[in-house]
This record gives sequence, C-alpha cells and structure tokens, in this order.
Amino acid sequence: MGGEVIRALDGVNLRVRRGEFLSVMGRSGSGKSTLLNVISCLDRPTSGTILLDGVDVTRVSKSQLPRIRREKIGFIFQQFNLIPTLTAIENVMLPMEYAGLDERNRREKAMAALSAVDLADRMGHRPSELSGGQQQRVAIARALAPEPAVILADEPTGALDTHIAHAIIQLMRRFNHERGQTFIVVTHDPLVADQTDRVIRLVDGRVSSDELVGERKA
Amino acid sequence: MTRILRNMARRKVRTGLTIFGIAIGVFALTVMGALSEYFALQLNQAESLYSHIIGITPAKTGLNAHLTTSMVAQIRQVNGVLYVENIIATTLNDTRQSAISLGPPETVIGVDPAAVKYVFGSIPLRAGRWIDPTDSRATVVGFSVAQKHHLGIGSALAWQKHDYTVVGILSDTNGFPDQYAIIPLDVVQRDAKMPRSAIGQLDVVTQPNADPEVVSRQIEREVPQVKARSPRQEAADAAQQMAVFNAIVLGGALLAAVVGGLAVVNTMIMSVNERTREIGIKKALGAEDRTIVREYLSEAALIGLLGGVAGLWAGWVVASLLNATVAAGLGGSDVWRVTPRLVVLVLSFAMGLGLVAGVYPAWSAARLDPVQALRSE
Repeated sequence: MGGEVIRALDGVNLRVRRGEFLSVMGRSGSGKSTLLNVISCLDRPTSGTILLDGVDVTRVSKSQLPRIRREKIGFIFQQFNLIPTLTAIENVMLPMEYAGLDERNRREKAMAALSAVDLADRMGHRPSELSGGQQQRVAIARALAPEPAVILADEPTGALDTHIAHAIIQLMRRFNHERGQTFIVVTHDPLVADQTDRVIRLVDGRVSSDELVGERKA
Repeated sequence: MTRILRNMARRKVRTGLTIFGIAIGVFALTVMGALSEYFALQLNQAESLYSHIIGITPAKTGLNAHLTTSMVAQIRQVNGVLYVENIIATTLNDTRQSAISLGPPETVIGVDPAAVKYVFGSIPLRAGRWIDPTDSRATVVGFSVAQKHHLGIGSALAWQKHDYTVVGILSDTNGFPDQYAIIPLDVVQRDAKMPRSAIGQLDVVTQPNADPEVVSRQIEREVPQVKARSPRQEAADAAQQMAVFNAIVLGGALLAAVVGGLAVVNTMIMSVNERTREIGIKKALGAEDRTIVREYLSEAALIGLLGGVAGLWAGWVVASLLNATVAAGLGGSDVWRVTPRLVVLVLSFAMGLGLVAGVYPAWSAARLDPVQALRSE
C-alpha cells in the first residue's frame, strides 16, 4: 500500500434527524461507502465521533458492535444480499433471530413486513425463485422488521431496471412517511436522489454540498 | 438443523465424498472394535468364572521343566488349598480343518469327575448333569459344541474313534467353555494314549474362606520349582494382552481420524471461502462471532456424525456377515460383537472428529472482516 495515508473521509460533519429521508451522492472513491461503513459500525474511523441514537459508537467495545447493529441499523444492499439457502420469510427472520427474539414473534413480525412489501404470497420462496425487484423487497422487509433506528441503503436500485427502481424508492418513501423510519440512501443516480428530502454530496472525502431538495427546486 | 442440511446440500458431491471418507475410517474402527469387544467379553467371562482358581506353571522354562505328580501332592498340603485339579486340554477335531483360527477351537477337557464342580461349577447347566466318577465314555459339552454337532442329552460325540455319551450341556457363556467337551481325565488319558503321569494344566481351587492371593504366595514358598499365578495376576496378564490389541485398534482409528479429519477441514475451508460474502452479510445483520462459529462447527459435526452412522452401519453389516460365514464355519460363536457401548463410542468419536476438524474453519469464518467479506464475490 506504500506509506501514503489515504483519507477516505476527512472532516465530515453531518447531523441526521430522526425520520429524515436523506441521500448521499458522489463518484466512486468519494467516500460514500466508507461513510456508510462507519455509521453502521462495520468500520471504525481513525478519529472523530459517531453518535447513533445518542450513543457514541466509536467508544463502544468491539464485542458490543453486533448488538448495536442489530438494534440500531437496518441494511439494504445493491446486490440484495439475501442468504440463498433460506426462504424469503427465513431471510426476514434472520436478524431478529440474532437479536434473540422467540420464533413466534419473529415469524409474526416477518409476515407483517413481507405483507407490507406486498410479498405475502412469496414467503416460502428461495431468492433464486424471485425476481430482482422481489428480492430487494424481501431485503427491505428484512431491514424494516426489527424496527431499527436508521436504515442504510447502499445503491438499493443499482441492480434494478428504472421502473422497478422507482417502485423500490417509492416503497422506502412510504415507510419513511408511515412509520417515521430514518433512511440514508447512498446513490449515484440523480433520479433517486431527487426523490429524497435532503442530498449530501461527497467529493474526495469531504462534504461539498448539503441541501434540501425542496430548497434546490425552489 | 434443516438449515445445516441445506448448506451441506449445496455441494452434494463434495459433502458426500467427505462423509464417505469418514465412513471408511469409522467402518474400520467398527470392525476392529467389534473384535476387540469379543476379546474383552472373553476376558470378563474368564475373570468371573475362574476368580477362585490359581494357575500353576513350572518355575523355569525349558525342556526339563515340567510339573510332576509329587508337586501335585505337595501343593495339596498347602494351607487354604481345597483341591488340585489336573486338567488336560487337547483338540476335539482329529484333523485340522482350517489353517486360520478365529476364537478358541473346540477342545476336549480331561478333568477328574470327582472335582469337576470345583473348577467348572460356576457355569450353569442348560440340560442334563455333570459327569461323575461312575461315568466312563461320557461328556458334558459346551453350548457351541452342542449346536455345531447337533447334540442333545443321550446323543453321541465322536472323538479318537470312540463315542462319548452326552450327559450334560452347558449354558451359553459367550466364552471359552462354549467350545468344551468335558470328559473324565482317566478316559482322556487312556483314549488319547497318554501316560497316567501326564499333567496338563494344574488348577488349584482354594477354600471358600481363603484369599487366593495369599494361597498362591504360600504355594510358591512351600513347593519348590513351581510358579503360582493368582487370579489377579492372570487377569493382569490378560489385560496387558488386551491393551496391546487395543493399541493396534486405536492406531487404525487414529489413522482414520487423521485422514477423515483432514477431509472435513478441507471441505469446511472451501465452504467458508465460498460463503465469505454470506458471512459478511450475517455479520452486518448483527450476527455475533460465536453464532458464526456455532454454524460452521455444527455443519462439521454433522458431517462427522453422518459419516459415523454410515461407517457404523457398513461395519455392522460386515461384522454380521463375518460372524455368519467365517466364525460359524470354524464352529465358533459370534466373534465380532457390535456392542451398545461400541456404537456409542464410535458415534461420539466420529462426531468429535468432525467438531475438532471444524474448529479452524469456523474460527477463520468468525474472524472475517465484515467490510472485506461483503466486498468479495
């Protein structure tokens, strides 16, 4: 790697309010993924603090991080990242199983979440038996079911056709409205960013702009 | 459980071959172990049947060393000795039928009918009575001898061109006595054309209140040129021979362990590599390291257990076949014994083997950095 220190993120100061629907834009290498990784406690910043729901996660011991992820974070990935050997409902139940919820509770919540994404009739299907859009809806249900503080979506529409991508963003919007769920969506697609309330732009690891979509349009 | 099976079913051929590898090792362990169980059973039988008997051998080895009738008379005088039994053992079959011998061969036991109950009295009779001093060409036969020669009370057993009337049949002991034909000593000496002074094996029966250990030391002190082996010494000797046999069995098992275990390690490492991304997803979803470890350890243990069940089954089939053909052909009782404790031992061994082999792959899976793991394809 050489001796050069690469700062993926540098001096980023960001405050996200509960219930916000926010997008982070930037070219590849701008630090989007690193930002997402440090918020989700998958990675740790070399300096600085991250307050998640009032807890400074940079000072929490490493063994506590899985618990924080379970309780505070929901993930939606570009490649859906469902477990191929598990059925739709088993995939949705998995994070709640890690959280120690009993089987009946998990199943109830998973069924409710899958119904909410309109997949009540696909619960017993494996990911390979579902279309891309359906798989991403299962992933959304998986992120929503444990009711985390914030849902992080990394290019959630990157692997989908435009009209399906639109439906997926609308679905996330709906949950944002109906449940007051906080969403942070990383994307390089301006059409996706346009549907969020607030757009952060990253350039070389720094915030270059931070604007409310309403303001910009006005 | 179904989830572990689904993971294993992803690579059916690879998982199958790994299970097969363990099965081969477990198969060998089962067949050898079943043989070992047979010997252990014989040992136990011998210990319980002969716990009151002291064996006498010449003190020196060599051509001139032999037991004499005067020694017998001297031993009779030792305190605590109830009876000194001269037992002559010789083969029942006049012609050697088979070059290989599994288990004890059929044996004619020449014993003083007046004292037969002292030596063999602990074996219950299945039918008839013991030989007594009024008998001439009469015999009490062991369970297997009776079965093989289709003998009942009153039938005739042929030996040395004479017929011996069966007066008693021993019950099944699972041990050496099953192969005996017990005949009065003087009749054996006469029919086999042995001198009257011939001494085979000397068994000293102790008095009920005497300690065989003390009596055997007493005999060695008072009677020159003899060695007395107490039941405890006999048992220790036999146990030592068992230990040698068990070491051979264990050696085979260890070899199986290394080969089968390495196959499991290999399979599990490949599985972890293939599922790197999945492990990253699970960690992102909040799985603890120990959850990941448990998942992979369970899979390895299940591979071990399935291999164990398959190997055990194959071993049991082969042991039964061997019992039905080889052992039966030699007139023996079942020589391969797949006992319940062997089943438990073999299955725990196979499962433990899988577990141990799974430790490294499971640990390396849990150690994966989630960010790196999520990036892998």
